[in-house]
Amino acid sequence: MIVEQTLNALLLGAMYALVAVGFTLFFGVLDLVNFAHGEMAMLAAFTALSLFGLALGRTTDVPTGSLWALSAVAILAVGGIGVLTERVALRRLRAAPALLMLLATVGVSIVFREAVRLLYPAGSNPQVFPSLFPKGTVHLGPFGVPYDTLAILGVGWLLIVAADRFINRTRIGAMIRAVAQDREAALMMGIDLDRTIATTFFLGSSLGAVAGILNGAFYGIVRFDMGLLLAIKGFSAAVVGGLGSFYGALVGSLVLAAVETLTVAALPGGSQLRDVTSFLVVIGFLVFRPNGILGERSVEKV
Amino acid sequence: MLDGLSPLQPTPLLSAEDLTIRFGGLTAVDGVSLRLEGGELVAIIGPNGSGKTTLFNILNGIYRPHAGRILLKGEDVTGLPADQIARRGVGRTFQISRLFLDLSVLDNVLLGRVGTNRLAWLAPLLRPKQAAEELADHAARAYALLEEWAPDLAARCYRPARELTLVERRRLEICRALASDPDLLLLDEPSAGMDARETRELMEEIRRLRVRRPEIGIALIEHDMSVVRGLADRVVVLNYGRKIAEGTFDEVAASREVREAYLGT
Amino acid sequence: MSLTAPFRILALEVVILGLTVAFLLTERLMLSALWLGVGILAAVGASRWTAGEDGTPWALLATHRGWAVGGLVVLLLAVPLLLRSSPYWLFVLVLAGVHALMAVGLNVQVGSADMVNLGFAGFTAIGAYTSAILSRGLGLSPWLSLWIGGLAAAAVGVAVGLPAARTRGYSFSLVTIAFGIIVYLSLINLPAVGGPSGLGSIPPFSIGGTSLRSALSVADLHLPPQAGSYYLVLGLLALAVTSALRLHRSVPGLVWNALREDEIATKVLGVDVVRAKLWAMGLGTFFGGIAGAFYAHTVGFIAPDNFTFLHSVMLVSMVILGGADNVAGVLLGAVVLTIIPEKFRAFQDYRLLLYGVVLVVMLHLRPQGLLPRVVRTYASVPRRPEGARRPEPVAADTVAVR
Repeated sequence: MIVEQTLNALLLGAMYALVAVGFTLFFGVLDLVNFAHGEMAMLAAFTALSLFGLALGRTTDVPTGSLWALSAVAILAVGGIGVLTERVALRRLRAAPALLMLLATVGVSIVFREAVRLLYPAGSNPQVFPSLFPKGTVHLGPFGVPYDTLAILGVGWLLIVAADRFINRTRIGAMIRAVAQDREAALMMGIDLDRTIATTFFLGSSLGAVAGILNGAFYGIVRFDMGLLLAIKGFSAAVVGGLGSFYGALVGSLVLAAVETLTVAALPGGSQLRDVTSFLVVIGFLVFRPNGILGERSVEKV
Repeated sequence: MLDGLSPLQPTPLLSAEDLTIRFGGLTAVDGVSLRLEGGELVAIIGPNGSGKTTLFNILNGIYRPHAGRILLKGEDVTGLPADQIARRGVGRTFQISRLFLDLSVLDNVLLGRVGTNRLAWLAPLLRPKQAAEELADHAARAYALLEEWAPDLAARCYRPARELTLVERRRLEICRALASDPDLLLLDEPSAGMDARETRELMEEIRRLRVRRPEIGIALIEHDMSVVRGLADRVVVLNYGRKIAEGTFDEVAASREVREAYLGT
Repeated sequence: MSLTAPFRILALEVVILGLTVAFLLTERLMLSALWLGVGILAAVGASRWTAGEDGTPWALLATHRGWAVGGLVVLLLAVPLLLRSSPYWLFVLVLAGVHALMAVGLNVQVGSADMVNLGFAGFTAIGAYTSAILSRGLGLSPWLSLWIGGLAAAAVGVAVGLPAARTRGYSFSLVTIAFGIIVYLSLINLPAVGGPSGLGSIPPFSIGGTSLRSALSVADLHLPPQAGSYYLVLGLLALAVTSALRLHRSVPGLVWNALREDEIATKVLGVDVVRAKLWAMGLGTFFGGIAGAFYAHTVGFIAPDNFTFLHSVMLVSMVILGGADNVAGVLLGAVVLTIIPEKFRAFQDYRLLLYGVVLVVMLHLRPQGLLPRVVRTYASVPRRPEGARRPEPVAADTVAVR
């Protein structure tokens, strides 16, 4: 029972982490809270579905290999959409007060959400998403872990490590970090700001895209409005863990997932309260420790 | 409250003892003591990074010291937040001026006046006429202050502060600090960015201030030695957060330690 | 200039009102778009026609404020008669009034103090539900529970403000977002307040036994069913706008503006910044609560889905579109963003999509909003001649500055 709940929490945490990492990236580099991030996940799922339908003629009973390939295409496509979004809707607002960019991302998220609802056939209804993982369970000692759970945990962890390596060990990552720390200095060093920001958006949106596809594959269903809740949860996880830290995103996700799982398991009527307790935890962090668990305590220079 | 002072000495305006503050591993201010009487002008000098502005931030209440005490007119104000210290008669200008750029010149000074009064939040709703009259009165006095200290700014009192030049902004910031009728004025590098003529004008203005308001005590952070020599009664030298010398300008200039600190050995 | 100026102002108001009514009443989509286009052109042309020396009509409106406001009031009172044939549109105007009330409250926070409250719908929900429950369950008169709803919202506003006021910038917004969502989730999950299906049978406002929801007749005039609510919301708006203007032009408004610019500088001048923020929260959410309660009693039915995050976003857009920190602008933003989407219901399904697009476009084209911020002037300090401008002794007035 405890094992089951722990696995639940880990799984939920992994889902949130996939979104949270993207948020961390946007916030770290651009000081931007990107409300459209959740829609990237949703767009990826629906793009994948469209590709499945177009390329294979059907969305059920399809060879897994093709699904993976098409999913990869969808992820790249959504990465591109992210770059386009920044170019069209956000670039001109870079110099404006942060509030405007925030609102712009809200506007963009509305546009994406409604566009899918209107343009995808029967968009308002939940859509079936094929499972990308083989059925069955792996037996680790006395415990049985389903393949899909294992896969998501594995992918989640892998992505976070990969993102961290990318940001901290590659040249492009160094440019991103430079822009994040001091935009003017980075410019003076000859770093192409537009390109670096575009890369950030590509990376972040792709991560969100992966989250969307895995989410769909695990739960079997996607909806046009799945982006909003994912975004808010992922974002809360990033805040709790410390905006700007990848491992913080992971820690925060696990904390929130643990709180929610605990609420559902331990409190009567818990399944309705889970989101409330989750958000109360977020508020608590925002007030008492706004830099999150792993974030640095920053002192404003006067 | 009068610990250590002989009964014949009046309470100093400011008495800061052993102030220390640390940021992470760095001790920015290390056991600095400072005493200031009303009517005195003390210049605080030292190489960049020696903790001068940080010291001001502590005196002001923006930072809370990890050790030490601050006594303002005999009252222990250590650890009080900035707004409470301001209300006890401390005015401050900043190294990079913090004006309200989108507000008018007059409004900036007006805020200086209004800030230290008890704010009545519901007054405009419950007794609007009276509130309006009080505000008009404050505005008139703010304007009078501008006329006294910066007549060219007074003529443009409704322009947004953003339109002012650097020197004008400094002047406005000093006016704003004066508007609260402070006993202690903390000026942080007021001559930064000014040329020789503007600096001389600034020195004149400060001299005029001391003549017209002889009770005000002024602490001045400066890099420009001509200003220090021309204005300071006493000079305090900081280096790496510690006070290394104190005395008249000539005494301090002759000190070997001071020369080493500035020129390095 | 002095005799023709009031005439120009009144003519301007009549024309704008006429175009608005025409816009509302036309059935055909093309005609609506046409009226909208004509309206915009007319507004631009009219502002030229009434322009003063600085190229804007504000100076003129300021000196002849009596005429401007008086004319506006008379015209607004006449609206139900003009819309007699269409109670639906009158209701839309009532809704616009509700949004305007909320926007005025939100403006105190977002516009004046730069406290971006993205959970305002949660506070209006508190006002609405409090008033509904008190009147429905305890039999309190809606006239009384309305104010209690407002006070409840204000109290919660201060409570949320207490921790939130210490956070900086985006953290404050996030706390409000989380709060708004918590309110929504709580309302959905509490059967005591109706759960997802909401609360119905909320008693209406009534005067001497006649419900304001019914069709009133005054003397021989038969007014459409929504007229009573319309006049009530106008009254509440008058109260709210007067209060907001008084606050803005006085010390609180000044302090909030200073807070918006530089919190530390404001603190160093002796202002208790946390207190200032709490007042902004309490006063702003008070109006939001009143608006929510008014809505509850006017429509008779409320549900959690009336108070979502998207509603909070919509309210913030109204403030930004109209011009943050400008009360008239905020009213304009509320009216425009209520009327236009309703009108284009022909695009029923595309309404929200359009809304998102408009939001993004507005942010790019005119982030400072339609109406600019004003410079405060004081009677005791007359404007001085500045170069070519001639001095205009303005009495405790505000003159616009771009």
